[in-house]
Amino acid sequence: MKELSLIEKAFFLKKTRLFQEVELDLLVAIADKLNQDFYDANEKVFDIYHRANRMYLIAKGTVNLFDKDQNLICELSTNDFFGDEPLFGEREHHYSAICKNETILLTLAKSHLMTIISECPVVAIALLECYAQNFSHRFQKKS
Amino acid sequence: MQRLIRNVFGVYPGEGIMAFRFCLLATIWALSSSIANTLSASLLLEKCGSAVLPYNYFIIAIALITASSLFIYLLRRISADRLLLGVLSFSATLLTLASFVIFYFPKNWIFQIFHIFSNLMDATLIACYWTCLDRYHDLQEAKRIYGAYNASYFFGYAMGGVIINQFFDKIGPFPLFLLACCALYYAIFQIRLIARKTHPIDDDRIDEVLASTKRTFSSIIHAFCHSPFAIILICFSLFCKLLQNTTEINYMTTLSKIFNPALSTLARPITESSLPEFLGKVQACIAIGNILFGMFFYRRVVRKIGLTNVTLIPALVFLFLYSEWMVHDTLFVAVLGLIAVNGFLFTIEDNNFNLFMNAAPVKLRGMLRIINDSFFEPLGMLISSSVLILFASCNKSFGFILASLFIILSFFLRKFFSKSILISLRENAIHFERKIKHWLKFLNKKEQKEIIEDLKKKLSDEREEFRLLAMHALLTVEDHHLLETILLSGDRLTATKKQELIQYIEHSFFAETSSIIEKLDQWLQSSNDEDLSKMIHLFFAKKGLLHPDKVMTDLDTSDLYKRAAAIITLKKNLANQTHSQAGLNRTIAYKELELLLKSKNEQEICMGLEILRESTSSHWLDKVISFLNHSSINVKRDAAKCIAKIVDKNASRYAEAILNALKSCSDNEFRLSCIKALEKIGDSTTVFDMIACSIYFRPNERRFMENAVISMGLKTVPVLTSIIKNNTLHDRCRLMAGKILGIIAQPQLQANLTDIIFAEIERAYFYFYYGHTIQLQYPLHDLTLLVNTLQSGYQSVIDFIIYMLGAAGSIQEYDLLVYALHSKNAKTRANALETLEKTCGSRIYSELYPLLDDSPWESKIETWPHLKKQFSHLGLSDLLKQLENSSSLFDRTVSAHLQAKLQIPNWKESLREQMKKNDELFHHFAYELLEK
Repeated sequence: MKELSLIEKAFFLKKTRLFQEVELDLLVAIADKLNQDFYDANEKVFDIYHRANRMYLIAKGTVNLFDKDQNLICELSTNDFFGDEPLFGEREHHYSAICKNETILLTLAKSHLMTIISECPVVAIALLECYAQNFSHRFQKKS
Repeated sequence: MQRLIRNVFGVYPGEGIMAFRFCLLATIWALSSSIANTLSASLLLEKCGSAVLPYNYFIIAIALITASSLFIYLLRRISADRLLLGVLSFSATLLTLASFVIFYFPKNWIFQIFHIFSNLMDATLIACYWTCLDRYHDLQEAKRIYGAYNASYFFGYAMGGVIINQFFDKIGPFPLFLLACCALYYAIFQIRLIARKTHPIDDDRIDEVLASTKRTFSSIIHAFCHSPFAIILICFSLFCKLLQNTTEINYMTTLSKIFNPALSTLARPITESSLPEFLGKVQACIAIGNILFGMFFYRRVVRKIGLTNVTLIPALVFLFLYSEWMVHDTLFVAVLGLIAVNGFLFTIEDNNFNLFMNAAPVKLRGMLRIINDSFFEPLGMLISSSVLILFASCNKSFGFILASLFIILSFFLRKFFSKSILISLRENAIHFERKIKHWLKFLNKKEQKEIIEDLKKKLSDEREEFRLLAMHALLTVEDHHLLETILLSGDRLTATKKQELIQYIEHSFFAETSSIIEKLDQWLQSSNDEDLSKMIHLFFAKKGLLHPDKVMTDLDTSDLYKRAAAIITLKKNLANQTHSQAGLNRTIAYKELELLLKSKNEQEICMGLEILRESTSSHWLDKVISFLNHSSINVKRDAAKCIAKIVDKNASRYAEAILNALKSCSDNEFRLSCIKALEKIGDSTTVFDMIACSIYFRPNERRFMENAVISMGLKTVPVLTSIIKNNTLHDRCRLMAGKILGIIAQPQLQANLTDIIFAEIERAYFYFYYGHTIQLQYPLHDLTLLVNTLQSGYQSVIDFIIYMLGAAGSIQEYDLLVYALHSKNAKTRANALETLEKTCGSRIYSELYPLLDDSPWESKIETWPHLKKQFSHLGLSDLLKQLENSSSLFDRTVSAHLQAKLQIPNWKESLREQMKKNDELFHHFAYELLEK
């Protein structure tokens, strides 16, 4: 599979929920720091309890997330992202990620994500929105 | 006692157990390797003779090269500690098997295989062990502790020799082999323990070798070929190997001449055992020296003279050695050769190589060691043996040539080391300041073409929003050849997006281009969309393309766009008019414009301001300035934009009003326009206020402000210098001033640097000392808040110091350096420290190092006894009083809060006094405290 160019990566970022509000010039700068990985079907991206040091954006394909009992948590597809939650607490992944089919992932290192958040508050807000959704869901479960 | 041990071994609190485990691991596997190697060699020589050795070496070289490819492949999939675990397990199993096979089936070919295996085991364990160490240590740690690891390795090796010496005759080889196996099994246990108990330091770079991302061999080769440092480092190592083999042959030749039994006399008897005995004694002394040097002195030498200078020592030693050897062939020179190889190369050079590895590109780190140990070192062996066989009579000349080239390589390595570290840091920075046009500048022609082609492809994206983005991006490239393509794609946009495109075009390089006017006219004729038509109409008016007679009636229309177009046309157009007619038109336009600006309707005011943006005169500034304080943010933004457009150097009387507006509004767009206006005014007397109000600015606003002050030039130097020295100002302001001064007048900054830094070290010490001791002095009070305040104050001062050093240094990317020094990643931080060492003077660096280093706070406090004496007398209330005068609002509020909480005598009077000097934010807080 072909390596995505800088512009292709920047336009891909624009499609994601996290970066859709960010200007193209900034997206190109961010795209420059993205690393592209190709995965085969059923290949593991990371295992549960592995130390997290980057987040993953799905450029193509489908990724399944499993909990510690190998139950499917969710199925993510193109333009979704995962692996970001533990980056904010020096924690480990609390799920494993396995590619359902041939997948292209773009990865962003933790320190880069932190820098981006400090430069572009819209990214932080997008993340908060995602977490807020999950939080209300969790809250409902507990109550 | 603990402190003494730590000081001796250079280990900081918290590192002791990890360092001990790694030392133990090195000792154990080196012991095993030493036993296996020595016994296999002696058994081979005894059973098969030396004739088989060249064949074995050939097979070892080939096997090592194969192993290196395998390890590179494996490192892409598993971590370095798992690789070491795998190699240890494989070696332990094979060694156990080999021990029994040798005992029960002592065939010649078995001894040969065993010899090959033991050599392979030694080489691969060395490579994997050091690769594993790199995963757990950064450069600064490596400088302190790697010497001890190297010494542990030698210690294990020496122990193996001693054990063979003492017990071989008594118990034979089999129990010794079993001992080596047990040592390897224990090493397996140790590495598992290390992997479980110790956290590795992963690089932030996403393609870090140990982070299990995927890479191709071609990308590794590409990274290697594009890193001069990696190439030089490998060449350096190759030359080490060449020199080692050449020197070994030379000193053995000299020693065998000197210890020739034929030269024996009564006074100086020489027997066949004289040479081995002599060699044994010298080797033992060197081994002890190596262990002592590695454990206690190497890190101190590196700290004292720097790694890049240490790397010259072995090169100079070899040059001296061969200069002597060319003239005298004496025992002294031969012993010096022995020390050069077994001492200098095995301790200093090996340790240097391990440290230099940290500066290699992240993509190659780890693999470079494997490539070197398993490929280039055998290659060096092969080359040197071939040359020495072919030119046996010129061995010393060959050595001299090698030593000369070695010193040249050392200089190259010095040069590229700093650069390589900086490149590693640069790879970590995100360049938010770059626009697409700037990105193109950093690319070669092929890549530029690719980027433009990609953007062109996006012009046919199914999402209209993306097509528009691509058009915007292509407009910023400012290439006339692309305009036609952009406009053709514009045809396929909806009317709303066409309006957005017109706005982009209006602010682009192509705004005046005829093809744009033609295209817009075409859209005007073909479009039924009213808003689009109005916008094009306004665009034409701005470009002076409408006739005044034709728009006169539009002045009375309720359509704001048409009215605006009419006003602009009357104001600007000179087509076929008499002077009196033109004057009349302008008077009408001004009156209409005034009406718009006086309107209560926000949109009309905004349109009025937009019309004024087309003006080149600052005549309207008085009026426009008043809109900066308008209640509507849209009006404020448009007013700021208008001012930024029409203001010039003669408008300095408005600078204060603009500054006040800048302070009062936090809107990003508004601030950027105000800063732009101040930049155009270029009044250096406003610099102080400009910088002072930037404390709470966003990153892009700060960048904008910096550029604004930079554009004012050298006249700002005195005020910038005074800001930097003024420690009553917020650190962020002083940082900005320092950064700007570093760009426009670096010598001035450097001239004041020592005074500034030493004053800041004192300030840092104050925060640091009380941050760590105040709670201990007052254990009954909960001073967590104060401690946190003091520690963050300390960090703020450290930030300031680093910035100043970066700005005053010759590094262009000092932002990067500051970022790296703040990185949570220890490897990035360590590399930044190394760069800082290279750029600031040794005096400043040695003063500063204890602050930046990760050493324990107790030892940091002891670093400056005079400061300890100066500060240690303050009690809690004195400390809080001191914080009252801090430049940081946070310090002042915490001080007031704690004074109130702890009921410090006269705290209310003190607070009222403070209110006189502080701003509104503090007043709110003070009133709350007083009311309580």
